[in-house]
Amino acid sequence: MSEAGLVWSLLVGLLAVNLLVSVYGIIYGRSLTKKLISLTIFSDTVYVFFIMVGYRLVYPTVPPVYVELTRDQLEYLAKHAVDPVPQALVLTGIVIGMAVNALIGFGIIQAYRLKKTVTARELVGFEEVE
Amino acid sequence: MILVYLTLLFAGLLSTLFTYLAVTEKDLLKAAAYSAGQSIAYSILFQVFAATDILLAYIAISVGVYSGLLIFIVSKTERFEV
Amino acid sequence: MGRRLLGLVFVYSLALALALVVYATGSLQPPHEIKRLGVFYVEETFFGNMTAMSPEAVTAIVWDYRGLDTVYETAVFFLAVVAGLAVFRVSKTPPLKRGVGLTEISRTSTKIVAALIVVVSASIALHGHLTPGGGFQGGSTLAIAPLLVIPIFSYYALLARRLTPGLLVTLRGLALTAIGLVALLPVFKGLEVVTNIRFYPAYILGQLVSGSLLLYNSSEYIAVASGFAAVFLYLSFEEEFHEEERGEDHE
Repeated sequence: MSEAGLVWSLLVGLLAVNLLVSVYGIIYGRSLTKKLISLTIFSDTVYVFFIMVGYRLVYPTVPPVYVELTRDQLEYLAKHAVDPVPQALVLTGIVIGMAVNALIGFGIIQAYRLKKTVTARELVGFEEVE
Repeated sequence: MILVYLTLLFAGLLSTLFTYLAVTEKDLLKAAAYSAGQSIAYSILFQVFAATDILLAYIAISVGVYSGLLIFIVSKTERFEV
Repeated sequence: MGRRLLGLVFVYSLALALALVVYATGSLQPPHEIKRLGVFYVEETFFGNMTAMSPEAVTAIVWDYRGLDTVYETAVFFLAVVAGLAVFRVSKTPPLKRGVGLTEISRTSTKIVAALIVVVSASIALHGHLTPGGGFQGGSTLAIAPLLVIPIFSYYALLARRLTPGLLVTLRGLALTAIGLVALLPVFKGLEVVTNIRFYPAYILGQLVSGSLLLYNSSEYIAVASGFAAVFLYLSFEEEFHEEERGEDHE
Protein backbone atom coordinates (compact mmCIF):
# COMPACT_ATOMS: atom_id res chain seq x y z
CA MET A 1 0.00 0.00 0.00
CA SER A 2 1.38 3.35 -1.00
CA GLU A 3 0.22 6.86 -1.75
CA ALA A 4 0.58 6.10 -5.47
CA GLY A 5 -1.95 3.30 -5.10
CA LEU A 6 -4.32 5.64 -3.27
CA VAL A 7 -4.05 8.34 -5.92
CA TRP A 8 -4.55 5.77 -8.68
CA SER A 9 -7.61 4.37 -6.88
CA LEU A 10 -9.12 7.82 -6.48
CA LEU A 11 -8.49 8.64 -10.13
CA VAL A 12 -10.00 5.36 -11.29
CA GLY A 13 -13.01 5.99 -9.03
CA LEU A 14 -13.54 9.46 -10.46
CA LEU A 15 -13.17 8.25 -14.05
CA ALA A 16 -15.52 5.31 -13.42
CA VAL A 17 -18.10 7.75 -12.10
CA ASN A 18 -17.60 9.83 -15.23
CA LEU A 19 -18.40 6.69 -17.24
CA LEU A 20 -21.53 6.03 -15.20
CA VAL A 21 -22.74 9.64 -15.44
CA SER A 22 -22.21 9.70 -19.21
CA VAL A 23 -24.04 6.37 -19.64
CA TYR A 24 -26.89 7.92 -17.64
CA GLY A 25 -26.80 10.86 -20.04
CA ILE A 26 -26.87 8.58 -23.09
CA ILE A 27 -29.86 6.64 -21.77
CA TYR A 28 -31.93 9.33 -20.04
CA GLY A 29 -30.96 12.43 -22.00
CA ARG A 30 -34.13 13.69 -23.67
CA SER A 31 -32.51 15.59 -26.51
CA LEU A 32 -30.39 13.90 -29.16
CA THR A 33 -27.81 16.67 -28.74
CA LYS A 34 -27.50 15.83 -25.05
CA LYS A 35 -27.04 12.17 -25.98
CA LEU A 36 -24.26 13.17 -28.39
CA ILE A 37 -22.48 15.21 -25.68
CA SER A 38 -22.70 12.28 -23.26
CA LEU A 39 -21.41 9.91 -25.94
CA THR A 40 -18.30 12.02 -26.47
CA ILE A 41 -17.66 12.22 -22.72
CA PHE A 42 -17.95 8.42 -22.57
CA SER A 43 -15.45 7.85 -25.37
CA ASP A 44 -13.02 10.42 -23.94
CA THR A 45 -13.08 8.66 -20.57
CA VAL A 46 -12.27 5.38 -22.28
CA TYR A 47 -9.28 7.07 -23.95
CA VAL A 48 -8.01 8.28 -20.56
CA PHE A 49 -8.22 4.72 -19.19
CA PHE A 50 -6.25 3.53 -22.23
CA ILE A 51 -3.51 6.09 -21.64
CA MET A 52 -3.36 5.19 -17.94
CA VAL A 53 -2.45 1.64 -18.91
CA GLY A 54 0.64 2.86 -20.74
CA TYR A 55 1.93 5.07 -17.94
CA ARG A 56 4.87 4.06 -15.77
CA LEU A 57 5.65 5.58 -12.40
CA VAL A 58 9.34 6.41 -12.61
CA TYR A 59 10.87 9.81 -12.09
CA PRO A 60 11.12 11.56 -14.49
CA THR A 61 8.58 10.14 -16.95
CA VAL A 62 9.13 11.30 -20.52
CA PRO A 63 7.19 10.91 -23.79
CA PRO A 64 8.59 8.28 -26.21
CA VAL A 65 10.40 10.89 -28.32
CA TYR A 66 14.15 11.06 -28.88
CA VAL A 67 15.49 14.47 -27.90
CA GLU A 68 18.95 13.68 -29.26
CA LEU A 69 19.89 10.84 -31.58
CA THR A 70 22.39 8.95 -29.43
CA ARG A 71 22.65 5.47 -27.92
CA ASP A 72 22.59 6.99 -24.42
CA GLN A 73 19.21 8.49 -25.19
CA LEU A 74 17.98 5.03 -26.22
CA GLU A 75 18.91 3.54 -22.86
CA TYR A 76 17.43 6.52 -21.04
CA LEU A 77 14.14 6.18 -22.96
CA ALA A 78 13.99 2.43 -22.38
CA LYS A 79 14.03 3.17 -18.65
CA HIS A 80 11.89 6.33 -18.56
CA ALA A 81 9.56 6.55 -21.59
CA VAL A 82 5.87 5.74 -21.42
CA ASP A 83 4.32 3.08 -23.65
CA PRO A 84 3.78 4.42 -27.21
CA VAL A 85 1.33 1.69 -28.25
CA PRO A 86 -1.76 2.98 -26.36
CA GLN A 87 -0.98 6.48 -27.61
CA ALA A 88 -1.00 5.33 -31.23
CA LEU A 89 -4.26 3.43 -30.69
CA VAL A 90 -5.93 6.37 -28.94
CA LEU A 91 -4.79 8.79 -31.64
CA THR A 92 -6.58 6.63 -34.20
CA GLY A 93 -9.58 6.40 -31.90
CA ILE A 94 -9.86 10.16 -31.42
CA VAL A 95 -9.89 10.89 -35.14
CA ILE A 96 -12.33 8.10 -35.99
CA GLY A 97 -14.53 9.11 -33.05
CA MET A 98 -14.51 12.71 -34.20
CA ALA A 99 -15.57 11.74 -37.73
CA VAL A 100 -18.34 9.46 -36.47
CA ASN A 101 -19.57 12.08 -33.99
CA ALA A 102 -19.67 14.69 -36.74
CA LEU A 103 -21.74 12.22 -38.78
CA ILE A 104 -24.14 11.78 -35.82
CA GLY A 105 -24.38 15.57 -35.61
CA PHE A 106 -25.39 15.78 -39.27
CA GLY A 107 -27.97 13.07 -38.56
CA ILE A 108 -29.41 15.19 -35.75
CA ILE A 109 -29.70 18.24 -38.01
CA GLN A 110 -31.35 16.14 -40.71
CA ALA A 111 -33.80 14.70 -38.16
CA TYR A 112 -34.71 18.23 -37.12
CA ARG A 113 -35.28 19.20 -40.75
CA LEU A 114 -37.65 16.31 -41.30
CA LYS A 115 -39.54 16.17 -37.97
CA LYS A 116 -38.94 19.62 -36.44
CA THR A 117 -37.86 18.07 -33.15
CA VAL A 118 -34.74 16.51 -31.67
CA THR A 119 -36.35 14.99 -28.59
CA ALA A 120 -35.76 11.27 -28.86
CA ARG A 121 -39.15 10.18 -27.53
CA GLU A 122 -41.02 12.39 -29.96
CA LEU A 123 -38.88 11.22 -32.85
CA VAL A 124 -39.71 7.56 -32.32
CA GLY A 125 -43.37 8.35 -31.71
CA PHE A 126 -43.75 7.67 -27.98
CA GLU A 127 -45.05 11.19 -27.41
CA GLU A 128 -47.19 13.25 -29.72
CA VAL A 129 -45.60 16.28 -31.36
CA GLU A 130 -47.65 19.35 -30.50
CA MET B 1 6.18 13.26 -7.37
CA ILE B 2 3.69 14.91 -5.02
CA LEU B 3 3.01 17.54 -7.68
CA VAL B 4 2.07 14.80 -10.15
CA TYR B 5 -0.39 13.30 -7.65
CA LEU B 6 -1.96 16.66 -6.84
CA THR B 7 -2.35 17.53 -10.54
CA LEU B 8 -3.93 14.14 -11.24
CA LEU B 9 -6.42 14.52 -8.40
CA PHE B 10 -7.25 18.11 -9.35
CA ALA B 11 -7.89 17.15 -12.99
CA GLY B 12 -9.95 14.13 -11.94
CA LEU B 13 -12.17 16.15 -9.60
CA LEU B 14 -12.57 18.87 -12.24
CA SER B 15 -13.53 16.34 -14.93
CA THR B 16 -16.20 14.74 -12.73
CA LEU B 17 -17.63 18.18 -11.86
CA PHE B 18 -17.85 19.22 -15.51
CA THR B 19 -19.22 15.84 -16.62
CA TYR B 20 -22.00 16.05 -14.06
CA LEU B 21 -22.81 19.65 -14.99
CA ALA B 22 -22.80 18.85 -18.73
CA VAL B 23 -25.10 15.85 -18.37
CA THR B 24 -27.62 17.54 -16.05
CA GLU B 25 -27.73 20.93 -17.80
CA LYS B 26 -30.99 21.72 -19.65
CA ASP B 27 -29.49 24.56 -21.71
CA LEU B 28 -27.62 22.72 -24.44
CA LEU B 29 -25.33 25.65 -25.23
CA LYS B 30 -24.15 25.67 -21.61
CA ALA B 31 -23.81 21.88 -21.76
CA ALA B 32 -21.47 22.24 -24.73
CA ALA B 33 -19.38 24.72 -22.75
CA TYR B 34 -19.23 22.35 -19.76
CA SER B 35 -18.21 19.56 -22.14
CA ALA B 36 -15.32 21.75 -23.30
CA GLY B 37 -14.34 22.24 -19.64
CA GLN B 38 -14.33 18.48 -19.14
CA SER B 39 -12.07 18.19 -22.20
CA ILE B 40 -9.62 20.66 -20.64
CA ALA B 41 -9.53 18.54 -17.47
CA TYR B 42 -8.77 15.45 -19.56
CA SER B 43 -6.08 17.39 -21.42
CA ILE B 44 -4.35 18.01 -18.09
CA LEU B 45 -4.52 14.27 -17.44
CA PHE B 46 -2.98 13.51 -20.84
CA GLN B 47 -0.21 15.99 -20.19
CA VAL B 48 0.62 14.40 -16.84
CA PHE B 49 0.54 10.94 -18.42
CA ALA B 50 3.20 12.16 -20.91
CA ALA B 51 0.95 11.57 -23.92
CA THR B 52 1.94 14.66 -25.87
CA ASP B 53 0.74 13.38 -29.23
CA ILE B 54 -2.71 12.70 -27.85
CA LEU B 55 -2.76 16.08 -26.14
CA LEU B 56 -2.13 17.96 -29.39
CA ALA B 57 -4.86 16.11 -31.26
CA TYR B 58 -7.31 15.97 -28.36
CA ILE B 59 -7.26 19.62 -27.32
CA ALA B 60 -7.72 20.84 -30.90
CA ILE B 61 -10.53 18.40 -31.62
CA SER B 62 -12.49 18.34 -28.39
CA VAL B 63 -12.18 21.98 -27.32
CA GLY B 64 -12.12 23.58 -30.77
CA VAL B 65 -13.71 21.52 -33.52
CA TYR B 66 -16.14 19.74 -31.28
CA SER B 67 -17.48 22.86 -29.52
CA GLY B 68 -17.91 24.49 -32.91
CA LEU B 69 -19.84 21.49 -34.22
CA LEU B 70 -22.13 21.47 -31.15
CA ILE B 71 -22.80 25.20 -31.42
CA PHE B 72 -23.74 24.74 -35.09
CA ILE B 73 -26.04 21.86 -34.16
CA VAL B 74 -27.69 23.87 -31.38
CA SER B 75 -28.13 26.90 -33.61
CA LYS B 76 -29.76 24.79 -36.32
CA THR B 77 -32.01 22.79 -33.96
CA GLU B 78 -33.30 23.48 -30.45
CA ARG B 79 -31.42 25.24 -27.69
CA PHE B 80 -33.31 23.91 -24.67
CA GLU B 81 -33.93 20.34 -23.71
CA VAL B 82 -37.62 19.80 -23.03
CA MET C 1 -30.70 23.89 -7.98
CA GLY C 2 -30.61 22.19 -4.58
CA ARG C 3 -31.37 18.89 -6.24
CA ARG C 4 -28.47 19.33 -8.62
CA LEU C 5 -26.05 20.07 -5.77
CA LEU C 6 -27.28 16.97 -3.96
CA GLY C 7 -26.64 14.93 -7.10
CA LEU C 8 -23.11 16.33 -7.31
CA VAL C 9 -22.42 15.35 -3.71
CA PHE C 10 -23.81 11.88 -4.46
CA VAL C 11 -21.59 11.54 -7.52
CA TYR C 12 -18.47 12.51 -5.57
CA SER C 13 -19.28 10.17 -2.68
CA LEU C 14 -19.87 7.34 -5.16
CA ALA C 15 -16.42 8.05 -6.62
CA LEU C 16 -14.88 8.01 -3.14
CA ALA C 17 -16.62 4.74 -2.27
CA LEU C 18 -15.44 3.11 -5.51
CA ALA C 19 -11.91 4.38 -4.89
CA LEU C 20 -11.87 2.99 -1.35
CA VAL C 21 -13.13 -0.40 -2.54
CA VAL C 22 -10.43 -0.50 -5.23
CA TYR C 23 -7.79 0.61 -2.74
CA ALA C 24 -8.87 -1.95 -0.15
CA THR C 25 -8.45 -4.80 -2.62
CA GLY C 26 -4.93 -3.50 -3.25
CA SER C 27 -5.01 -4.74 -6.82
CA LEU C 28 -4.32 -1.36 -8.41
CA GLN C 29 -0.73 -0.17 -8.40
CA PRO C 30 0.77 2.07 -11.05
CA PRO C 31 3.35 0.01 -12.95
CA HIS C 32 7.05 0.85 -12.87
CA GLU C 33 7.69 -1.05 -16.12
CA ILE C 34 5.92 -0.88 -19.46
CA LYS C 35 4.99 -3.85 -21.59
CA ARG C 36 7.65 -5.58 -23.68
CA LEU C 37 5.98 -4.46 -26.91
CA GLY C 38 6.24 -0.81 -25.91
CA VAL C 39 9.92 -1.17 -25.08
CA PHE C 40 10.41 -2.86 -28.46
CA TYR C 41 8.90 0.09 -30.34
CA VAL C 42 10.85 2.64 -28.29
CA GLU C 43 14.12 0.84 -28.97
CA GLU C 44 13.54 0.01 -32.62
CA THR C 45 12.09 3.29 -33.82
CA PHE C 46 15.45 4.87 -34.63
CA PHE C 47 18.38 2.54 -33.89
CA GLY C 48 17.09 -1.00 -34.26
CA ASN C 49 17.11 -3.42 -37.18
CA MET C 50 13.44 -2.72 -37.92
CA THR C 51 13.89 1.01 -37.78
CA ALA C 52 11.42 3.54 -39.09
CA MET C 53 14.15 6.22 -38.95
CA SER C 54 11.90 8.42 -36.87
CA PRO C 55 12.85 9.73 -33.41
CA GLU C 56 9.14 9.87 -32.60
CA ALA C 57 7.82 6.44 -31.63
CA VAL C 58 4.11 7.28 -31.86
CA THR C 59 4.28 8.63 -35.42
CA ALA C 60 6.44 5.64 -36.34
CA ILE C 61 3.77 3.25 -35.07
CA VAL C 62 0.90 5.18 -36.63
CA TRP C 63 2.37 5.48 -40.12
CA ASP C 64 4.99 2.73 -40.34
CA TYR C 65 4.61 -0.26 -38.02
CA ARG C 66 0.81 -0.14 -38.13
CA GLY C 67 0.67 1.87 -41.36
CA LEU C 68 -1.96 -0.28 -43.04
CA ASP C 69 -4.35 0.31 -40.12
CA THR C 70 -3.95 4.03 -40.50
CA VAL C 71 -4.55 3.95 -44.22
CA TYR C 72 -7.85 2.13 -43.59
CA GLU C 73 -8.62 4.56 -40.75
CA THR C 74 -8.16 7.42 -43.18
CA ALA C 75 -10.65 5.67 -45.44
CA VAL C 76 -13.19 5.50 -42.60
CA PHE C 77 -12.65 9.17 -41.87
CA PHE C 78 -13.06 9.95 -45.55
CA LEU C 79 -16.36 8.07 -45.75
CA ALA C 80 -17.76 9.74 -42.62
CA VAL C 81 -17.05 13.21 -43.95
CA VAL C 82 -18.40 12.27 -47.38
CA ALA C 83 -21.64 11.11 -45.75
CA GLY C 84 -21.86 14.42 -43.92
CA LEU C 85 -21.26 16.38 -47.10
CA ALA C 86 -23.95 14.31 -48.82
CA VAL C 87 -26.50 15.52 -46.26
CA PHE C 88 -25.44 19.14 -46.69
CA ARG C 89 -24.74 19.11 -50.42
CA VAL C 90 -25.61 22.29 -52.28
CA SER C 91 -25.18 22.82 -55.99
CA LYS C 92 -24.15 26.48 -55.69
CA THR C 93 -22.88 28.83 -53.02
CA PRO C 94 -25.04 31.62 -51.51
CA PRO C 95 -24.89 35.01 -53.26
CA LEU C 96 -22.34 37.39 -51.78
CA LYS C 97 -23.60 40.18 -49.52
CA ARG C 98 -21.91 42.92 -47.59
CA GLY C 99 -22.62 43.52 -43.91
CA VAL C 100 -21.38 45.75 -41.15
CA GLY C 101 -19.52 42.96 -39.37
CA LEU C 102 -18.13 42.85 -35.84
CA THR C 103 -16.01 45.51 -34.21
CA GLU C 104 -12.50 46.44 -35.32
CA ILE C 105 -11.00 44.93 -32.14
CA SER C 106 -12.38 41.43 -32.70
CA ARG C 107 -11.53 41.51 -36.39
CA THR C 108 -7.93 42.58 -35.86
CA SER C 109 -7.30 40.08 -33.08
CA THR C 110 -8.88 37.31 -35.14
CA LYS C 111 -6.57 38.12 -38.04
CA ILE C 112 -3.51 37.80 -35.80
CA VAL C 113 -4.70 34.63 -34.07
CA ALA C 114 -5.75 32.96 -37.34
CA ALA C 115 -2.33 33.63 -38.87
CA LEU C 116 -0.65 32.20 -35.77
CA ILE C 117 -2.87 29.10 -35.89
CA VAL C 118 -1.86 28.44 -39.49
CA VAL C 119 1.86 28.74 -38.65
CA VAL C 120 1.65 26.59 -35.51
CA SER C 121 -0.40 23.88 -37.23
CA ALA C 122 2.07 23.71 -40.13
CA SER C 123 4.89 23.36 -37.61
CA ILE C 124 3.06 20.58 -35.76
CA ALA C 125 2.35 18.67 -38.97
CA LEU C 126 5.66 19.07 -40.80
CA HIS C 127 7.80 18.28 -37.74
CA GLY C 128 5.56 15.33 -36.93
CA HIS C 129 8.35 12.80 -37.44
CA LEU C 130 10.76 14.70 -35.15
CA THR C 131 8.67 16.15 -32.33
CA PRO C 132 5.26 15.29 -30.88
CA GLY C 133 2.63 15.96 -33.48
CA GLY C 134 1.73 14.78 -36.94
CA GLY C 135 -0.83 15.00 -39.69
CA PHE C 136 -3.94 14.54 -37.59
CA GLN C 137 -2.83 16.93 -34.88
CA GLY C 138 -1.75 19.65 -37.28
CA GLY C 139 -4.83 19.21 -39.47
CA SER C 140 -7.27 19.46 -36.61
CA THR C 141 -5.42 22.52 -35.34
CA LEU C 142 -5.63 24.15 -38.77
CA ALA C 143 -9.38 23.39 -38.86
CA ILE C 144 -9.78 25.85 -35.96
CA ALA C 145 -8.79 28.76 -38.23
CA PRO C 146 -11.90 28.68 -40.49
CA LEU C 147 -13.98 27.98 -37.39
CA LEU C 148 -12.65 31.24 -35.95
CA VAL C 149 -13.00 33.20 -39.20
CA ILE C 150 -16.61 32.16 -39.94
CA PRO C 151 -18.29 33.76 -36.88
CA ILE C 152 -16.11 36.88 -36.93
CA PHE C 153 -15.96 37.67 -40.66
CA SER C 154 -18.92 35.49 -41.82
CA TYR C 155 -18.51 32.83 -44.49
CA TYR C 156 -18.60 35.45 -47.24
CA ALA C 157 -15.01 36.27 -46.29
CA LEU C 158 -13.98 32.72 -47.22
CA LEU C 159 -16.18 32.52 -50.32
CA ALA C 160 -14.92 35.88 -51.63
CA ARG C 161 -11.35 34.55 -51.42
CA ARG C 162 -12.36 31.58 -53.63
CA LEU C 163 -12.22 29.18 -50.67
CA THR C 164 -15.40 27.47 -51.81
CA PRO C 165 -16.57 24.06 -50.57
CA GLY C 166 -15.92 22.62 -54.01
CA LEU C 167 -12.27 23.67 -53.91
CA LEU C 168 -11.86 22.30 -50.38
CA VAL C 169 -13.39 18.95 -51.31
CA THR C 170 -11.14 18.75 -54.37
CA LEU C 171 -8.08 19.55 -52.23
CA ARG C 172 -9.11 16.84 -49.82
CA GLY C 173 -9.53 14.32 -52.60
CA LEU C 174 -6.08 15.16 -53.96
CA ALA C 175 -4.47 14.79 -50.54
CA LEU C 176 -6.15 11.43 -49.96
CA THR C 177 -5.04 10.28 -53.40
CA ALA C 178 -1.50 11.28 -52.43
CA ILE C 179 -1.75 9.13 -49.28
CA GLY C 180 -2.97 6.20 -51.37
CA LEU C 181 -0.16 6.67 -53.88
CA VAL C 182 2.52 6.87 -51.18
CA ALA C 183 1.15 3.65 -49.72
CA LEU C 184 0.89 1.87 -53.09
CA LEU C 185 4.10 2.99 -54.85
CA PRO C 186 6.38 0.35 -53.21
CA VAL C 187 4.15 -2.40 -54.67
CA PHE C 188 5.43 -1.66 -58.17
CA LYS C 189 8.95 -2.46 -56.99
CA GLY C 190 7.84 -5.78 -55.54
CA LEU C 191 7.68 -4.65 -51.91
CA GLU C 192 4.70 -4.78 -49.56
CA VAL C 193 2.06 -2.06 -49.31
CA VAL C 194 3.04 0.77 -46.91
CA THR C 195 6.76 -0.03 -47.06
CA ASN C 196 8.73 2.80 -45.55
CA ILE C 197 12.51 2.80 -45.23
CA ARG C 198 13.29 0.14 -47.81
CA PHE C 199 11.69 2.28 -50.53
CA TYR C 200 11.80 5.92 -49.41
CA PRO C 201 15.04 7.70 -48.45
CA ALA C 202 15.52 8.54 -44.76
CA TYR C 203 17.67 11.62 -45.39
CA ILE C 204 17.20 14.23 -48.10
CA LEU C 205 20.03 16.81 -48.41
CA GLY C 206 21.20 15.85 -44.94
CA GLN C 207 17.79 16.50 -43.39
CA LEU C 208 16.05 13.67 -41.58
CA VAL C 209 12.70 13.14 -43.30
CA SER C 210 12.04 9.60 -42.03
CA GLY C 211 11.11 8.15 -45.43
CA SER C 212 7.40 8.27 -46.13
CA LEU C 213 6.43 9.72 -42.74
CA LEU C 214 6.87 13.32 -43.92
CA LEU C 215 4.80 12.64 -47.05
CA TYR C 216 2.02 10.96 -45.07
CA ASN C 217 1.99 13.70 -42.44
CA SER C 218 1.79 16.57 -44.91
CA SER C 219 -0.91 14.87 -47.00
CA GLU C 220 -2.95 13.97 -43.94
CA TYR C 221 -2.57 17.55 -42.71
CA ILE C 222 -4.16 18.93 -45.85
CA ALA C 223 -6.82 16.20 -45.98
CA VAL C 224 -8.02 16.61 -42.38
CA ALA C 225 -7.95 20.40 -42.43
CA SER C 226 -9.76 20.81 -45.75
CA GLY C 227 -12.30 18.13 -44.82
CA PHE C 228 -13.23 19.89 -41.60
CA ALA C 229 -13.18 23.30 -43.27
CA ALA C 230 -15.60 22.08 -45.94
CA VAL C 231 -17.89 20.61 -43.29
CA PHE C 232 -17.92 23.84 -41.30
CA LEU C 233 -18.50 25.93 -44.41
CA TYR C 234 -21.53 23.83 -45.33
CA LEU C 235 -22.75 23.95 -41.73
CA SER C 236 -22.46 27.74 -41.63
CA PHE C 237 -24.84 28.28 -44.58
CA GLU C 238 -28.23 29.35 -43.28
CA GLU C 239 -31.04 26.80 -43.08
CA GLU C 240 -33.14 29.06 -45.35
CA PHE C 241 -30.55 28.70 -48.08
CA HIS C 242 -30.51 24.92 -47.68
CA GLU C 243 -34.32 24.88 -47.86
CA GLU C 244 -34.33 26.98 -51.03
CA GLU C 245 -31.77 24.65 -52.51
CA ARG C 246 -33.82 21.56 -51.70
CA GLY C 247 -36.95 23.23 -53.04
CA GLU C 248 -35.23 23.77 -56.37
CA ASP C 249 -34.06 20.17 -56.43
CA HIS C 250 -37.63 18.93 -56.10
CA GLU C 251 -38.95 20.93 -59.03
